[in-house]
Amino acid sequence: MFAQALSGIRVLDIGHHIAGPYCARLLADFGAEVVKVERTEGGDPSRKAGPFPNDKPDPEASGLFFYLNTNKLGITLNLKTDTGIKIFHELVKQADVLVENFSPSVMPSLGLSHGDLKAINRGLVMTSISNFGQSGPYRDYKATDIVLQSLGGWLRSRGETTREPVRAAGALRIAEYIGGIYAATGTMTALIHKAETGIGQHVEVSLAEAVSTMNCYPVAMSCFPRNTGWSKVRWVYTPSVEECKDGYVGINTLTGAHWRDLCALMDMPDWAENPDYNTLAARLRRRGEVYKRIHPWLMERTREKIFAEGRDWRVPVAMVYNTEDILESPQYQARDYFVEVEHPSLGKITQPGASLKMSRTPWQIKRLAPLLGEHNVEVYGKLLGYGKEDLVRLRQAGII
Amino acid sequence: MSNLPLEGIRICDLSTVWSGPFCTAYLGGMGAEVIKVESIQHPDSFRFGTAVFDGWWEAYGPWNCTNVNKYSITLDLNKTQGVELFKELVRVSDVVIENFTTRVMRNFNLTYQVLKGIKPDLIMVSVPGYGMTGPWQDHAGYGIAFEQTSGLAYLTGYTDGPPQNMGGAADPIVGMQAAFAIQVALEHRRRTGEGQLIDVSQIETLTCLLGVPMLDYCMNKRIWGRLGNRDPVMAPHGVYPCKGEDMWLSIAISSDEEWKALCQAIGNPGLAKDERFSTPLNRWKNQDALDKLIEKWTLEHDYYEAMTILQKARVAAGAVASPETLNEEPHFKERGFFQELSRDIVGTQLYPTWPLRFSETPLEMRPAPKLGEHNEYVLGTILGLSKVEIEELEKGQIIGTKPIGLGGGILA
Repeated sequence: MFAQALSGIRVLDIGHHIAGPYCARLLADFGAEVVKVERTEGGDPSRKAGPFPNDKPDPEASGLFFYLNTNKLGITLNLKTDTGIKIFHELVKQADVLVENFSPSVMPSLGLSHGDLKAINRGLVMTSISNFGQSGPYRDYKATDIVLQSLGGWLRSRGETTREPVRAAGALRIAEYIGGIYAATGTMTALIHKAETGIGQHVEVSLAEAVSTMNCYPVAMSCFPRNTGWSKVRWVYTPSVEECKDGYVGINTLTGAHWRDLCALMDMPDWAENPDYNTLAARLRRRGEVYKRIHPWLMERTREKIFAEGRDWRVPVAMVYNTEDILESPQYQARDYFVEVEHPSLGKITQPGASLKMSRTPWQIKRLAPLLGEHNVEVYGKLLGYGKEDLVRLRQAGII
Repeated sequence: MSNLPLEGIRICDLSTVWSGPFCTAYLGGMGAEVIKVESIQHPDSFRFGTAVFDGWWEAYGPWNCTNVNKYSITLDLNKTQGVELFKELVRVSDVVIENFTTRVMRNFNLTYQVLKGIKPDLIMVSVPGYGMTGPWQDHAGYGIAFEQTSGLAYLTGYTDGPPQNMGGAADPIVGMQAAFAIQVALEHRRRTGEGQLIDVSQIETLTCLLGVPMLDYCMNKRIWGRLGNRDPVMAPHGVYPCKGEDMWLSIAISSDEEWKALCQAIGNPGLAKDERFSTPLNRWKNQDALDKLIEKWTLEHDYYEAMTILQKARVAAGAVASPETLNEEPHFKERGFFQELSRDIVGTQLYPTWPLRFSETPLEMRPAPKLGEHNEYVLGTILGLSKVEIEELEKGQIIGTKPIGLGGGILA
């Protein structure tokens, strides 16, 4: 039985939607005791998001909620009541970490600002994730993933030069996951500091700023003199993602050597040293011609074949996978990547497993996402000594 | 004012390009002593982004931004002397990080098995594209390739178009995941004295972001594809043209309340009563017509002006900001997100900082080191070599400060 690196670290997760819960999930995956605190009415809004089995809405069978809240205990608490706040204070006293991703005005309005909570638990690490951060001219702006990608300077760089720019990762809401990863990393740093000093701190994550770090090249270039003389708005490559016999492959010629090797692979020796084609800028000026030349070669070959030939000829080729491809991929299977679960509501499902492999403290799945209030008895009992009668009373009063 | 959390932690950083270096830039900013190990025969290929002039290897913008907060040495690991010195450095270090395929460290005979023998509690981190084991372990790749295989590219692009590259975000995402893992391992070591080997397969980290589409496939056999700037549920939702060339505003409406606010804000309150758009489902079904109506309004406004009007009305809207001038964007400017640093060759420039802020232990920002700048410090002060020994190493080209191999240029 492997040890868990973060066992004994208690995290209160009052996050909702994606960013806060994903941060807390990463901590839970490596052994932290994460208590997810949901509102009494309806719980986390991600319970309404789905996807649902057979598209039938069910708050206990939402794919988004399920994926983000694996490995957590679940309790309910009404923070809109004085009693609820008092109970929350008691929980905070016993926590190492608090993760929240409300708009910045919310926690202070509940009397739960970092200053308020620091006073009752000096060692608390409070991780606050918000769209723009705890300050700034857009602090209280409304935002969703596409708005964050826009103001973060990421959206503009993607797509065709002749039409509107296009969002990264479609409906995935990737900006929120990115924020969650940053938050988990920052939380770990604060925990290391706390272990050394006994002092907690406020860790703040700005999702728009996190998005901006995804776009290193133009952002960095904006700060430096233009040293490649390559001025572009949409970062377009050619070749790039290309259609082939049975799907798509990525032909990623990033260097001169890659281009020359590609010309050898595709039997285009006349283009290897030809200044009309041997730089990206030149090829972009002749996109139509490049496409005309490489397209027939690609359409005669499957993804697997092009991938194998790319490896042999040292050209970076990648197969473009969708969800189905990934589940059927021998590569992922050989790595024992997937976790299979038989869930009462969701049915038989296969999920991604570990995001990384640690030899002594591996990622573990210990429990499935909680039902609403599933661990009220266990958690309130253990942490606050509440008995069954207390909980009945609190439920009747709408506190839990 | 507290000391930085990772002070006292020494990291040997063999990683190149973006993912590993991004990770160590963060850890260095948190106080770790990051010793970037390159060689004059094969400097970090991320340096190769500029025209050739004296000092060109120090000039590339993205390289400078990514390699803040580090020390730099050079060691030719193809020579026995270089390998022996690297091992001596590992003996007094806490973490080794690299992002090669497994073949590379095997060829240097610097695998975890070997290094663990030298430093039993070593934390070794590999960030290979496809993992340290498995059929593709020796298959090289770059961030764009990992986005393609991990499923992210398939979700990206226009509704009527092929998958699009996300643009390289794989690297910082995986870099931060690696920083998370290293800190988890440090915590375990603090408790138990035990080090370990960490394998951060880039495609696996990225595919973990696709848990929800994967569930949809298992439950409903649905394969998520591309929808341009639209949304499966929200409408209106998209990117709308504004005044001027290539100027855009994104708008995302997620409730009836927000829809009514939008109608008011664009001076068309009657629209809120239009049957075609009266419910979320109706709005979604009639998006084409809806988008045209909104476009009429946005085309009359500057994109920031339009955003301000809509946000005032509590509508989610975002000007599609330009990354090339992000340091002038009002939010980034007021937040002080960009910071000035001075350095030889490139002078004083603005550098992006971090989306993370700490109330007790703010992140440091120190300019990137010059190639081999700290050879004397690391070899002399840390490893105790004499001046004569160091001179011999320079003569033998085991170490140095000027590249002698050009390799390939990046971004051909």
